[in-house]
Amino acid sequence: MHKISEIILSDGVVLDVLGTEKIAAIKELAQILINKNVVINPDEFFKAILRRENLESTGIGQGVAIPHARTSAVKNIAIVFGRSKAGVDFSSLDGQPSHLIFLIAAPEDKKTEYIMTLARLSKLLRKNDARNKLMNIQSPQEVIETITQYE
Amino acid sequence: MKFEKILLYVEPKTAIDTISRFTINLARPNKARVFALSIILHPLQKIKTRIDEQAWKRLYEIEEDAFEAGVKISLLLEELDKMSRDNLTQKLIDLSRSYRVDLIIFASNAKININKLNSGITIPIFIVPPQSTNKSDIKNDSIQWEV
Repeated sequence: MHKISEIILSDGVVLDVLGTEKIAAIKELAQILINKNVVINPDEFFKAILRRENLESTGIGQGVAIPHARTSAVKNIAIVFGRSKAGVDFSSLDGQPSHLIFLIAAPEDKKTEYIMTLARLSKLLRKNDARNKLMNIQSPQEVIETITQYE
Repeated sequence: MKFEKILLYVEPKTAIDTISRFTINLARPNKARVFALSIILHPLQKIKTRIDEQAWKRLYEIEEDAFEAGVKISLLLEELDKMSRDNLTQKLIDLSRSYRVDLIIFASNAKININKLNSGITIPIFIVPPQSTNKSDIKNDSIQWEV
């Protein structure tokens, strides 16, 4: 099973997400996955993401959102990270906007790895220190280092 | 009886197949939202990481089942400073009020004080028989409970 630090793309970090609403922010991050050929069918991937966003609140509270999709439109499991200083409304149950956004894409046949990735990332992001550090990082490399430190 | 918001409580080590299926099958025709809840102990840092991950894993397994069935779902991982039946039950009462749920579901082996729960809420409760648990689960579980 891969560690989070192994599947987060080293060039998949956006320190200032421009999108101020959920779908725009997701599309901004998803574009990286498309450019890196992780997502091989963008239309199907967005459909899967949107269907999930309609059924779930992928904002898990404490300023964190983990939009995710498992679909055949994805070649291999990967994570991209975006930080939004203004915050994006992901309908979190605590009512707070999300500043730390992790987009997870997984192939259809990797259910176990996908669920473990979600669980590990959610666990990691409950740590106040980890969240605070991610809010204040200055470079993409620091994201990987922070995740490596806390996972 | 129609349900709009269902609180499904699962303990971090609970096998969730039966209870997840039961809840989703109930939620789907009602077009209800499921609030899948797990509660972990806060202060014991050594075991917290492991329990925390197990709890999230259970919740995401339920989420995946709900997603495949087209059922709306929200995940809740809550913490308690001291784990006892009474504290846990009070938390369940508080959350059911806070989210205005109209049904609570949990496994029959959940560490809930039924009398306290019944006196604290007026909504229906479904108690679902659990699946088998293995010895290591019971052993691990015993670490965090003060019953």
